Amino acid sequence: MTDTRSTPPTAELPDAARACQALATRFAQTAHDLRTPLNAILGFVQVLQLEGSLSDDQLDSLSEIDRAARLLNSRLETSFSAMREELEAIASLSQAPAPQNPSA
Amino acid sequence: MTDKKVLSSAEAARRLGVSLRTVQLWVEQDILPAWKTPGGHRRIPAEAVAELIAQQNAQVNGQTEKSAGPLRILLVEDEGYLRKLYARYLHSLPYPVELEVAEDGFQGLIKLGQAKPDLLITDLMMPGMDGVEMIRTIRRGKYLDDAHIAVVTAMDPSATEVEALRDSGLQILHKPLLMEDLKALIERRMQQTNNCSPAATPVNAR
Repeated sequence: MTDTRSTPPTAELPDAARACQALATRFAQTAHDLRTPLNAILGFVQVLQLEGSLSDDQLDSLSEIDRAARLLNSRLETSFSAMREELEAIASLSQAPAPQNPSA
Repeated sequence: MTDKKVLSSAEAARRLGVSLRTVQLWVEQDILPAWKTPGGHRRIPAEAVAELIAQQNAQVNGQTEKSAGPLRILLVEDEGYLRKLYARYLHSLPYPVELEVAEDGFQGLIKLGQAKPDLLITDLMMPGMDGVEMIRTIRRGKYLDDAHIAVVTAMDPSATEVEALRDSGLQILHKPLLMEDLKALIERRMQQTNNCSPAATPVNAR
């Protein structure tokens, strides 16, 4: 709605497809950039758990970090796949009436 | 019975737990010393058989506890904290690992040229030369066999690049990577390199 560009009606569909493609690319990059630091959190917890010198309280704190990080991971993956499905749905909507589009 | 000084081929085979044919092969290959009686029967010193059994036991233990030399790993990863994570984890493992690191595909290729690793673990999305381009270059120049390459990526499993690499038979692991998976990968590779070593031939000749 805030987009003030005046686009001729014929150019609307290719534009939508392009915007959709750009969104998918940005989404894939975001997913990648969120998984990477999460890998470090989960990994360093595992490395610390291998240390023999930790107290019970410290080990308990570590397992809470681990639990929370795994929960965060599964929530991220759930929302990633929901978002991927939505993007695919939008892409097929914007591509359907334009058969000249190259099939991805 | 057990303090016999010389054994027939059949007795040696039984003690070694191998087939008669294998004993004959080992004699032909001088793995086992033997001589023939005037009647044409093979005789093998019991001492040599005992020695070979001891060697085999040492080898089997060596394969499960520690390998002959350190496993050389080249890690290509742009994130400093992940390089540190892998290094710390790898050094906590109960077997010797020699780790070399590179921060992008280009550096990875240079380090690969300096020393051929037993295992190359690489990220895909990296600034400069990415993992896909590096793997393409490695394959084109036949610098390293695919079996020695493992990809660890935070990209979607359904991403075009990832699917293409998986379809071509490359091992792909996904981030967040569990350390057990990294360990399993290394142990698999370790077993493969041990099985290829010439020292293991008598065991494999069964």
